[in-house]
Amino acid sequence: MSERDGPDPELERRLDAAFRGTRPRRGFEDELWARLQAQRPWWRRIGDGLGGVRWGGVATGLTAVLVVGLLVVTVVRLGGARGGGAGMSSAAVPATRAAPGGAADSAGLPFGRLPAPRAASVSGLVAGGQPAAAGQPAASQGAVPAPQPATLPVFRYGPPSGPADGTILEVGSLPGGLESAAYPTRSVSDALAGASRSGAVAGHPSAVLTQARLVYVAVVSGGQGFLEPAYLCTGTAPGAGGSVPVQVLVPALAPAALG
Amino acid sequence: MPGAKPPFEDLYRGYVGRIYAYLRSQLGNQVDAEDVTSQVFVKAYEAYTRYEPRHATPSAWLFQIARNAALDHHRRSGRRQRMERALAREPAPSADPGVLAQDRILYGELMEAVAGLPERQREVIGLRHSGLSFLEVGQLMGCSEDAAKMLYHRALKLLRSALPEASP
Repeated sequence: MSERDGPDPELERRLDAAFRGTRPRRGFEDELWARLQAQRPWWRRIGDGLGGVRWGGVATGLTAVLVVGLLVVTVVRLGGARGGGAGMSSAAVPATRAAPGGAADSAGLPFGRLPAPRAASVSGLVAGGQPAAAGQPAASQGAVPAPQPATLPVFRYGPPSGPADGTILEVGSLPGGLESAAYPTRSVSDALAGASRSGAVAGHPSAVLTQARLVYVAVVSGGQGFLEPAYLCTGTAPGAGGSVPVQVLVPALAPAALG
Repeated sequence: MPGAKPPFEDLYRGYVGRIYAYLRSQLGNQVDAEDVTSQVFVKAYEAYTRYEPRHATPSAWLFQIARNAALDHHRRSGRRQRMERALAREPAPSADPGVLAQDRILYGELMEAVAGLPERQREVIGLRHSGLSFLEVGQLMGCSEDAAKMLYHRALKLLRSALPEASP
């Protein structure tokens, strides 16, 4: 207490110390948080996760079926020489999950580090519509940062009863009754920048991504299935007959959460 | 001051220890404090979409839930039995021995003395030393700020008289 106008300041100091020093046993806080996460219906868990996004008047109920209208004006230059579309379905190269800043600690991740989804990676992000020189690492300043929830739920299931590896699910169509846990997220701009560092994939020489929305991607590994949040970024790229649509899937989870 | 609505996890991480300490002072033992802390955050989680920061600070809102939960707990299971167990220093089943030892050595005696006060005195000490202002304490307890201060000072005197003379 800051006020010391009581009749017994020494007793008040002891009480302050007692209340500050009395804490639950080690592990209680995380156990209770996991219980809170697990007992909620999936649509409310997602609503809570997205409720952390400070979007002003966006109602939590609407965010549960969110289509994130994030303006990600990012010019994508794909450094690889291979042709073909940049769509996620054509991706054959799993994103490399090298966490910036070194190896991450998997402590505190309820399901441990998660397998990375098989997704198209974006390479050669450049700012302001200026293509990067071939072979140079790209910058991602062209992406407009957007507020993100600090955590999003990840769902776990047995592969025989769930979606196949690589299946993309809309937020509003996730199955219910799955075990879930909150995982740390990263921003769209970080996700795109990380994808750019992970290596080139087949795609268009350049593309402009104009939107990103939150989806879930099924990842099956080691006898376990996970539904992991990801940003499905869409835009256009110049083609022979004009602009062609492109889309890129990048994980929404922090690199430290992925194995 | 009421302000923006934080993500629930921020609220949880910021208050779970304080709510536990408050409930420890109200219930007199670790096991019940953990149990009711869980109930408090389950209720808060379920009600969070209806929480309006304009009407109450997160602290006032959470401690209102905690206070009600503590009162419910006392009504449900009988305070005398739990207090007898606490005063007899009987470790409850499944209590962590390490925590019990540290708790008892450092703060247990004082917290148990608070838990042994009459209801209003126990509440005012618990809420005040959980970081609430006298205005907030008064609002939670249904009295004025000045009345909360007077009640608090009386509670301190009563607590002092309940503590052993040799207490540090």
